[in-house]
Amino acid sequence: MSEFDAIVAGSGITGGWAAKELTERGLRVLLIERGPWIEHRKDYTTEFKAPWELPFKGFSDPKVLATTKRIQRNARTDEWTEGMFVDDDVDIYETSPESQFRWIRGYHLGGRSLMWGRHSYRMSPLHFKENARDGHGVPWPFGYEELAPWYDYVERYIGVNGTVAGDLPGLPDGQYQPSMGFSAAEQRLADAIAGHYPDRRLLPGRTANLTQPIGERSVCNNRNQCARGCSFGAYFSTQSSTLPAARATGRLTVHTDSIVDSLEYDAARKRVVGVRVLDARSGAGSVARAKLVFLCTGSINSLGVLLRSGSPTAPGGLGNSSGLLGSYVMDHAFAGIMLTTVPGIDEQMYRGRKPNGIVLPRFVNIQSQETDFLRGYSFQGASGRDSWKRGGHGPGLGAAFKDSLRKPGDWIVGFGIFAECLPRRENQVRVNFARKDKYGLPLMQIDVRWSDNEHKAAAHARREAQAMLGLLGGTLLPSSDELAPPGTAIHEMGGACMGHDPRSTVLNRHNQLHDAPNVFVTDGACMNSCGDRNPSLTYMALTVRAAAHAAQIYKDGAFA
Amino acid sequence: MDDDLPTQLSRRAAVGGAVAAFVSLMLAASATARATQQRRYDPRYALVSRLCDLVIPPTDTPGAAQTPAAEFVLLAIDHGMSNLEARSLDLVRESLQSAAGGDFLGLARTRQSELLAALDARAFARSPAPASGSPEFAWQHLKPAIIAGYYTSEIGASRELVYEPVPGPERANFVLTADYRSRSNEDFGGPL
Repeated sequence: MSEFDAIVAGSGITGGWAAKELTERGLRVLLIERGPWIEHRKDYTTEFKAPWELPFKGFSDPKVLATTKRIQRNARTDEWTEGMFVDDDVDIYETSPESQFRWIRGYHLGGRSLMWGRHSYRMSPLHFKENARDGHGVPWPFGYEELAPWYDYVERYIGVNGTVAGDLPGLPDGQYQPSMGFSAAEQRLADAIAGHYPDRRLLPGRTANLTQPIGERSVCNNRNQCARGCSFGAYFSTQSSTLPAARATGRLTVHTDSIVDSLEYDAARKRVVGVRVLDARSGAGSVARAKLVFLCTGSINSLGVLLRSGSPTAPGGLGNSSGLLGSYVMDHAFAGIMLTTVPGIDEQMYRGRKPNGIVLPRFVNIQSQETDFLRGYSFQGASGRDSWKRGGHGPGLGAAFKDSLRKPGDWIVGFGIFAECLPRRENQVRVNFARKDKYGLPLMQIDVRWSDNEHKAAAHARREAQAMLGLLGGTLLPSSDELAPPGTAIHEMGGACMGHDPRSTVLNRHNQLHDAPNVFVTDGACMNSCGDRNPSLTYMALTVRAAAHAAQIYKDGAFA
Repeated sequence: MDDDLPTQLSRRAAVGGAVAAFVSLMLAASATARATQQRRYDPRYALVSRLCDLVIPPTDTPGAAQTPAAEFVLLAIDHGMSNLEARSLDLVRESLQSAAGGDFLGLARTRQSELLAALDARAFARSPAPASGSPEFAWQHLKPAIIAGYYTSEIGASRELVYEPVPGPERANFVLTADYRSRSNEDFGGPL
């Protein structure tokens, strides 16, 4: 008999939650993480470094950016944060020339929960209906109302600062701490938009940065450097929140430097009976055993585990009797920032560097189909004063020039676009068994491409953004018209759709594999559609819901 | 690392790891310090240091020449930061030498400033845009490195501007006062 009731693979946002919920519900849990241990506070080694203490003063070694971080740099890394991301020469994968997928990862305890964007928005009721309505992708097996109480639970625990906006058609409200509010430029933009577009409302970003303390986590100190790690515990991460809670139960064991290779399947019992693990340092293999398995290794890696778990009875991978495992993979179509200067408020300033930014929820195709593309997009942005860097990009030298840089420069505010990616069967993740990485694992193949729909949505969004920013009467700054390659939004998801019918879906409505019900997949792989906003809050709500179900049926003897 | 390892083993491993990390940090810091020192003997140093001094002179705070800004510029050139090339400095030098009719560094500071100001004005004129390979184009790339070198130095970041690593929880909008100084932290990292 195993010493563990459950194994949680992956310690990022969803793995941390699964570990917390399962241990708090009485299960003995083994949490497996492929990367090294990062201890809260102690291992945030660059957090308090000044730029003059870094070899490249914060700007990063160009050689590093061109080699080992050539893909990861698209996460807008800097010399403080690049160490949090994987080595592109070691953690390799394949992508087609047409896709150019950017797979951005952090392999360490806490995973990307340490570097995530922290924007926390609920999917809207509309998002759960559109697959069924327009026939793209697989219909969700439940609606928003099913998930709403789990959103409530997660928001209260992680601490999301935000403004209650009255349940906008495109964005439900949640359980919020006091908002970080607007800067003067953001307020000006909000007023301008409200004055011209009655159906649009700019809101302060809703982020998992505390404005009220929770337990030992203190409030945000407005440093806006979260991805270095935060010793104040002021943003939600595995380290600051779920891991301490799980450890406090006395029922958690953590193994780091342990890569999940595949799952051992007992076809007769239709269950997974073991998790094959590789020691990342020695390469030695072992098998961990428990009655339940939660796959939370990040969408693509979780798909990889299942696809590598083929057997004579499951030749295309475990959970793939539908033939759809690895299909309908998505990311948000991300288009670069459009910026404008904001005249007339030069005397206004702000204290601190608030990390929440702004959000403009979806406003197209809400009540009816209005555009030549399906679904919609949202905007996220930020504002600030032009910094000392402007001195390098304009004329001037000498004492007066130096003195001028003591004052803040122009106000600048802008938007980036998150357009919904239609779930399309041909956007796939596969495994190339012919090529292996340094651990001997076959390479992931990622082929996700933008369709005409994403291009049209982004072009529409760009025109609308320019019109809205133009209301401020400033100077619009040059921006790219190109959609960034898939993966750039770092919201890769899908590939293991949920549904009632095992012939057309991979997971049931509780995130259990139809083909092996003691395996739960609760990271982004389970998403049937991606909406137009940051998905982590939804992953968390789905994980908590699944963990509650798993613990209940486990206690009821479902996997005895 | 196993969460359930015997305490003694964990402690030994942790101490060993800390020593190794400390040694690597020492070696890295020492290599950086050596490289910085060597740049002071670089034949390009005198010109770059003077350019730094002309762009950000000493006032009531030290100027760029009193900081490691010149070392940073040479580092940026040598590592190709922001597409800087070795010839960027060569082009600027040749242009200034030509305008000086000889030894630019031998001129009086006022005259040096006039010549650099003329190049700077051409480089950042609204039109025409400097052609690739021109001294003006080179200066467009070199000047951001001077600025970055200064405002990321301890003096530039914390004496000329205000270094505020932990602003605190009280976030507020307010009306600027005459004595307000920008926070250097606003724009660390990213492109030059």
